[in-house]
Amino acid sequence: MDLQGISREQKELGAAVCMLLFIISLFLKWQTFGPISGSGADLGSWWLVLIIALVAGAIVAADSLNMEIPLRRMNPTSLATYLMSLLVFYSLVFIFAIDGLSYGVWLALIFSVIGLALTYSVYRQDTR
Amino acid sequence: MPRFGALERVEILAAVLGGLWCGALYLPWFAMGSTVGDVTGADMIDSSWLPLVIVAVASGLLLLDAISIDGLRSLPVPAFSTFLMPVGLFYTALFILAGEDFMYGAWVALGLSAAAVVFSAMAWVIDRRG
Repeated sequence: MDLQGISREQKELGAAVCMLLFIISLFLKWQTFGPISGSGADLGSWWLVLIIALVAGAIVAADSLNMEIPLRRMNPTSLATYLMSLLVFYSLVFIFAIDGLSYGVWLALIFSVIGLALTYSVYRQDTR
Repeated sequence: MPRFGALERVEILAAVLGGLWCGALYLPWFAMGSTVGDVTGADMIDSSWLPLVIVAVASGLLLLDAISIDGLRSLPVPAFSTFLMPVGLFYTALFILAGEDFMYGAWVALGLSAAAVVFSAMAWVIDRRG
């Protein structure tokens, strides 16, 4: 996929939307096992993932709107890229671990991977 | 005996800490009562091999870079390992924040993973300074 035709701001807004959709997917069905179903928010520490997605989404959204970001010295897009890679890891850990995977976990993986690809593309643009 | 510089010493330290975190996965993290027995970090989820492999790769690369394996010259090892190493800390934090009745293994793993992240980041900073 060619991301060169998309502007930096569009990529960042796209990544922010992906983070929002990732958060929504946390509450969808991740596992269906007979009558039992589970979501991405069933693990007691799911709020850690929520915070990571919120911070990553807020960084890219603020950068796309040219807002002042306190972490400007350490390149905020690199931090957002890193945080999104942790979300990909979170989705993969559950995909490899659970039986009876449902649509929610796949959506979480798709949104985290697209968000990561868009933010990484911005990061590469910045460091060139 | 080879003489190691500051970068190599920090890389070896980070690699050892990462390796010890891999071992700490098999220590008891949570007490589940006498019927079930203790639960290790590796028992927490079937895919515990995924963070284990990631941290083992990060530690292995740091160790190989410290002893100057030529084939790694094209890869920015300290930066790449700093990217991979926090996966262990994230995995540990994820289950510590979710659980209760902790045993020593959970705290050992948390300390080792945090220290491994700090030292791999130090190696990255030293490497960037040249």
